[in-house]
Amino acid sequence: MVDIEKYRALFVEESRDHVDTLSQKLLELERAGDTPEAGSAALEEAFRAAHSLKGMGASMGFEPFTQLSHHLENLIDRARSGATLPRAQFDLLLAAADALGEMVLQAEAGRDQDMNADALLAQLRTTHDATTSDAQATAPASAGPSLVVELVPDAPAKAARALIIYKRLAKAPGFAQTWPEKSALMATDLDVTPLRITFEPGTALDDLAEIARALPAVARVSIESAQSTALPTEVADAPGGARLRVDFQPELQALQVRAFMVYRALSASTGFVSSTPDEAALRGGKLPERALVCTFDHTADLDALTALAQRQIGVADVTRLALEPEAPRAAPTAAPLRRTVKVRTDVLDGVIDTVGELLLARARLRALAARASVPGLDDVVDEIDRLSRELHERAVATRMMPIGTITHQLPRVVRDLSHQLERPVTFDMHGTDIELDRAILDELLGPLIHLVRNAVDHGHDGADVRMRLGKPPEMHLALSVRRDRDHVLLTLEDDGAGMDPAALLKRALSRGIIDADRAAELTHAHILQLICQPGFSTAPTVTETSGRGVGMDVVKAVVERLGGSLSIASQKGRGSTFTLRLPLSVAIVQVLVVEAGDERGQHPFALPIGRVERSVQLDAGTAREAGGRQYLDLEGHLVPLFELGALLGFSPQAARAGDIAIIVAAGQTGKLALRVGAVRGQEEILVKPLGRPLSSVRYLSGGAMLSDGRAAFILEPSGLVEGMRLPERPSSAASTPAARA
Amino acid sequence: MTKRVLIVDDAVFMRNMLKDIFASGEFEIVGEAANGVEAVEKFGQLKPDIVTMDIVMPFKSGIEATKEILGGTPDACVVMCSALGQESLVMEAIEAGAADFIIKPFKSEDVLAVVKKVLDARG
Repeated sequence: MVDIEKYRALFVEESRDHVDTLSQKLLELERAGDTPEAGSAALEEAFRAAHSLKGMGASMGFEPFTQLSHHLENLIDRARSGATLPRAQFDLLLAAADALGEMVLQAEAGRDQDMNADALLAQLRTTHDATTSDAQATAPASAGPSLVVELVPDAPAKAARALIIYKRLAKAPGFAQTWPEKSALMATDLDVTPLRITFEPGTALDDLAEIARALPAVARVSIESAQSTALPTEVADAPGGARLRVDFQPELQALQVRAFMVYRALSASTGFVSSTPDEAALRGGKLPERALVCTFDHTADLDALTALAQRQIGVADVTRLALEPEAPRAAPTAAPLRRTVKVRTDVLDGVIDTVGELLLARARLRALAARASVPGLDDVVDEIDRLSRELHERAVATRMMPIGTITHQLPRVVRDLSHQLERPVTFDMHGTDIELDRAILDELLGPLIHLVRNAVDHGHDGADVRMRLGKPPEMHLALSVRRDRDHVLLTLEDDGAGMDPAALLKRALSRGIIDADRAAELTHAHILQLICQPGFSTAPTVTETSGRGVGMDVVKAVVERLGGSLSIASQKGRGSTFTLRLPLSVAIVQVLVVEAGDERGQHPFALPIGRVERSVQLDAGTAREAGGRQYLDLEGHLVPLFELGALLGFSPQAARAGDIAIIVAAGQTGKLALRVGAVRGQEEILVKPLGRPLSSVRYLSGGAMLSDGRAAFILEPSGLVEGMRLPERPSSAASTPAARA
Repeated sequence: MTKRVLIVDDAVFMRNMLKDIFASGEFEIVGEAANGVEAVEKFGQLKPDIVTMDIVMPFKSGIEATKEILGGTPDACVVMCSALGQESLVMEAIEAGAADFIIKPFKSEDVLAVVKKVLDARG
């Protein structure tokens, strides 16, 4: 056994891919159901995946893993040869695929000894045994006579012809078995001749042979007498000839192939007459006594033949004594070639970082060049500018991956929940080849799963209710992805129960999320957004399926942190639509740099330009007070006003003449005014993700190095006032001008 | 004289294992291929002394590729790499002209024994 530690990482990576493919293709297969053509490409890929997993598992010495893959491969292989996969088996197959996925994780963690699938294996074995009636029959101890049927060489649809012949002859009394077996005959592009139909010992075949000869496309029918499979062991020379008995090593791998190779070597030699078992039996893997006996006539050079046989791999002994057309596998369906390479993600991130630094250095170069007066320098700087932008675009493009890489898991989630709740759902996805930055994709999966589960859990009334409403019993769920210039729109639409604004308001009121006056002001769109308020979804009827971990509030927070937005549309009784609008890339953003702090020092902070509406000079008359809070009067609307430094934890600073307030969008319906010490200007920065523990701070979305070399945090406006319930907005009339301290 | 080897398998994992098995003064890995189409291409470009050919691969199976390679170069040395359970495929390959075969999981000594035997037989 090889030293497996060297290969562990590679095993994990490749197996993961194959397990994913396997699950995906099994799902496709299940859906294809009655249309085998649709299923056959999926079948081929599933087979290859299971096969590869088996090989890798065996090489790593992971016994349970190898056995599971082996069973999967077998069951899938039967389907390839034409056996049908009963519906009930799919659950088992998918469970096996999941178990393999588990084991890959265990392998990754070094917990090889934890790999266990005993229960599953037991189930798979009984399934295997139950379907053995379609599988290869074991040879009877003494076979009766056989009819060997050969088809006309250029007959069209040979396998179909063979099937017809088989069916006709199988009806005859005394029929024992056929080679190739029935399930192989059902595959459509095999060359299956000669067809060997064996009957019970003693059956008279002359009449049947005549019948067979009369069938279309039959070229020749010959009768083979009964073959005894017991091998002679004492020396008995045929007149002028001899026999060689070749015994094979015990525990030899692929015994029948080795035997076949020996047969080929000997049968090609001068003087070869016949062998027991014969060629057909050898091809069929039948070697009852682990030995091959070949008969030669007097022209054979027995010494040379003995030496030849002894040289073959796997041969234990050669003694001088006085010979199943296999069905070739259909070639895997060709798919268009894609030229791709696998690159480690940290290598890519490193490239992008460096390119980012390059862009910043370029900016500094430009600033310096402006001051120097070297002829031709400006042109070079322009060129560098253009090239670095181009390089940046290309580098960012390497981080782009099709959204399909995460959405491919969704059909499984839908299927499982749909089965569990017994609510039928059809789920379609469009536009999954549209690409998004990997960093965005990493965070999207959780929210998408939550949205999809919500739809099945809360949006589906149940088949009977739906039918009473005139809808089809299965709920239609569709995910579509579209590009909109530099954004991507993901829409999840269902034709389920929709959301009832009255019910939503009622719940929000009872949870204290809003009060009666505010409730009256809300528009339909606002009401729907209430489900994204923290505290909304901890309902008494939280279901086990969608009430855990990720909530709508987290979905919205993730989307916004990625620089996007979530909008909700819904009609009671008709269905709901959730739209996520996301930027294509997070790496480089435009920000407004401001200063905030206290007497101990001022620090730079970055606000994403996309969230900044405008800046306003604060002077007398624009700041107002009401109910103990400060507001900014913007054309009659009161926007909550906060000192940024205070929000960030610095000691509060009094307002001064010339102060500026930045108006930012906070959430979909809220606005915020942030009073800052100074505004430094706009910049393009490279977002650097924050590690733990800072990454869990809701109002920080990253860090960056500014063009002056200082480090700055990037702020997430929604996070600044999170947890702080924005009070109801008083009317302008009720407010008074803020006192100047 | 070192023998030039072309390794064909769709799993990087397997190719790496084989590369390690062949890592000795006697063999030089001149190329790798991940499917039958690449195998035929690279064989034509590199003309190795021996090819290890996986059977089950996407786009074009090892059997197809072997047939093509042997069609163009009848004395090419192709050794099939198969998992247990694929005996009939191996036999088909042997009939098509493959020189010999090895079974996964590989044991170094078995792989080297088969390869040496094949190369010796060809002279």
